[in-house]
Amino acid sequence: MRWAWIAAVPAVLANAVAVAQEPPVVSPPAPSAQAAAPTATQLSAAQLETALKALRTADLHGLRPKDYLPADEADAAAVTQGLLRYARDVKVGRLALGDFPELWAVRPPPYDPAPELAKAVAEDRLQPWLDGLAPRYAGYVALKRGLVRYREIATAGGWETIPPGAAMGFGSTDPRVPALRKRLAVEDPQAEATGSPTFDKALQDAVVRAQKRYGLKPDGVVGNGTLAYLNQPVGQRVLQIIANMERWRWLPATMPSTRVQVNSGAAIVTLFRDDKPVLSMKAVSGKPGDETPMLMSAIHSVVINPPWNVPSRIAREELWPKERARPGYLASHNYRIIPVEGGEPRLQQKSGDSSALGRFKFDFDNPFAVYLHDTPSKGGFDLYARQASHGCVRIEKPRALAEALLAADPAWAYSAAFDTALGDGSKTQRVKLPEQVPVMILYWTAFAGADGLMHFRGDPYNWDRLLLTKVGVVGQAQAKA
Amino acid sequence: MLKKVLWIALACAVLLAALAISRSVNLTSNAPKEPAPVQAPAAEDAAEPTAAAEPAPQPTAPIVKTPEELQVEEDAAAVGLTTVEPEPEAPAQTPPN
Repeated sequence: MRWAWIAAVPAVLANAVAVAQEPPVVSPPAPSAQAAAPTATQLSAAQLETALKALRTADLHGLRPKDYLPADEADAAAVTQGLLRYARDVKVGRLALGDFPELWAVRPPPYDPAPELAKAVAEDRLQPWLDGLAPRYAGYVALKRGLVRYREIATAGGWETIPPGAAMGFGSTDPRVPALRKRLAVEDPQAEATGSPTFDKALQDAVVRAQKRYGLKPDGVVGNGTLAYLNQPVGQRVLQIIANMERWRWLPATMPSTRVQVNSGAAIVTLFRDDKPVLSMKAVSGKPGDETPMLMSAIHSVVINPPWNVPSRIAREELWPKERARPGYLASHNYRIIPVEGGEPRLQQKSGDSSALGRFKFDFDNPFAVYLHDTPSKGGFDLYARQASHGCVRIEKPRALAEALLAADPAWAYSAAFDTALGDGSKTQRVKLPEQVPVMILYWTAFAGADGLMHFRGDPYNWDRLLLTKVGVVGQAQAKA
Repeated sequence: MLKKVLWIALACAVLLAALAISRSVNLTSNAPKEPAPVQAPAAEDAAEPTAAAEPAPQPTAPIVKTPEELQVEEDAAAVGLTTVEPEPEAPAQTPPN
């Protein structure tokens, strides 16, 4: 019933002025005089100016002022309508709930700004209300600052493309060295724009810093891979920031103080306790085509020595073909074939060191059947592009995470308890957490690093582009380019 | 008769003298005599300096973070900095009447 009312919110917003004069066609709730959107006459001259100022500066939030400003800025009714659209877009984003792809399961609650606006106007607190619309997370605020900075760079002409060529490293006298110096200095205040034509230590350090900002191997050598990141146009970075700001609006207003956060775009996992990061590790997230979904759930159990119940698609598309090509493959990799009456047999890989799930699995409810788990393929963590799984999140330090999550359980407060439980890997044990720990799998490709500078990742799932297309920031033709 | 008067006068004088002596040595007071101030040990002086003698604050040494701590900070930024910024508080747009 609640959702039926919510579905009519856009219509209510589009007719905000009419709503004030007559009851909306949807119910409940019946609009009270206070809940109705203010009419043109209800906005004082000062409030009208405040509203116009907010709409004119909508670009600070990555929005387009022209989407909200009426042609006639003296038309207070039209300004009110623009303000309602703006409030909704700043608070919960521009993507309509019906347009969320299935894998984007982090979604904002429905939001109707009309009652809040009416209250803010009545109490003469329009500016504080406007100030409180945007996410208050430091990550969002940092992106806002980054957006201003990268727009300034764009206004100043951006940066010049550095032609591809042989790798440049310490001691190189490549003719592109001056251009590289200049390019790095645009984003990095520690880097000098001019200097020796030789690739010196200072330039090497600046390259390492840039590679860290882009999530690349920080070897200080500029090959074509690093150049590809350096040569991304500044406009692309601006769009990337806008896409990430949009995603911040989908999060709840506050976070639980203890939580596990995953960035599938950068393949990083961090455990927060009392809102402070206490443990972090590399991860391997889903590969394109098997994307790790964005979701929010709560870890309820740690499974020690988990067997792997192979999803039927993976069995059908990957494992059975291997068995047919090389009979005995399944047995040699510890798979059991479990007959299913009237259906295809299931595959289960026995627990142990060679199990695809490694020695630990962290379970949380979700409709995608994904989880965090250990892996025997530790080499995957040495890569810098770590999107290689079937959608689950492989983690680098599963035991450390298990110990941290179970620290409050007296039976698991000692490392020896884990040694005993792990044993030779043959005995599976499910341990319920004393308290469930929220887990959030998110997708960030632009964020401010601990150094205060903007960090960027590739868009491995192409979700930035998809989002920007869905909200009309880039056109379909541009999206395909 | 005169003798009697003299004895009484003498008794009164003795009484007055005794009273004067007792006052001078504070025999009527129940409160114990305040002890002479004791010199505090030097260590205590240092532990609780008076406001006037408060030394200038020592410059706090910069907190040196381990590479692991720095990495955790980097990673925390990468998964999304969910620290909440203080709520903006702006005054009402028009002053109250």
